[in-house]
Amino acid sequence: MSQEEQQEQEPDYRFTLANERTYLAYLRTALACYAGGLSAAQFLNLGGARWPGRVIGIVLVTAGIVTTVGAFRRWQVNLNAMRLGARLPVTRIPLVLGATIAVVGLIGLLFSLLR
Amino acid sequence: MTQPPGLQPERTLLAWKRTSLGLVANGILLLASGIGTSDVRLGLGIVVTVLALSCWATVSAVYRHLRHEPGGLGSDRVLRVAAGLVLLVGLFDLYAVITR
Repeated sequence: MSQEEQQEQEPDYRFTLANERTYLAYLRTALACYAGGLSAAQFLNLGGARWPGRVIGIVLVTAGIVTTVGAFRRWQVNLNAMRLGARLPVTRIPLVLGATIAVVGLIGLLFSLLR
Repeated sequence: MTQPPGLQPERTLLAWKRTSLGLVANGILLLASGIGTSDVRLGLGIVVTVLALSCWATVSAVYRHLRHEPGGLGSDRVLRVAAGLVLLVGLFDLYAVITR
């Protein structure tokens, strides 16, 4: 099989659909970040000061936006790798996102406890 | 080539439905953040809610019609539109958080 034929090989549709579901899972995570950010700005009552809730909101919504862009790129990269029969590349999105949410959650908790 | 039947298309469509529900939740939150305080946020909330419900209706229609045709799912264009829509909602939410 020539290299060109290999490049044009479509992956099994089940893998394509699994890739699509992973992409949608990232989009939902991004939407959850937006909702969390908006809720923090809207409902987090930290002794009258609005800025902590607003900062938490901005960080969470920004994390969601970055996740949305990263999810689309990830879907494309995965599809290309599957077409070429290559290994799926490693991603840092879950690690970065998890760390951001953990830090923001801790800060929110501290503010709530120390108010 | 006929594709083997399976639950993969169904799971993928349910994933689309859950994503649409996420959009609906964001629309409602935007509405809640705008009611009584900001007409702009209220307007953005209405836009997002309408878009989200349209998305839900579209996904439900696709679910009914393409149940047994996995090949009809998830074109590149549809996934681009989904990313664009979520990005747009994110920018609206960012505006809502900043102006809150």
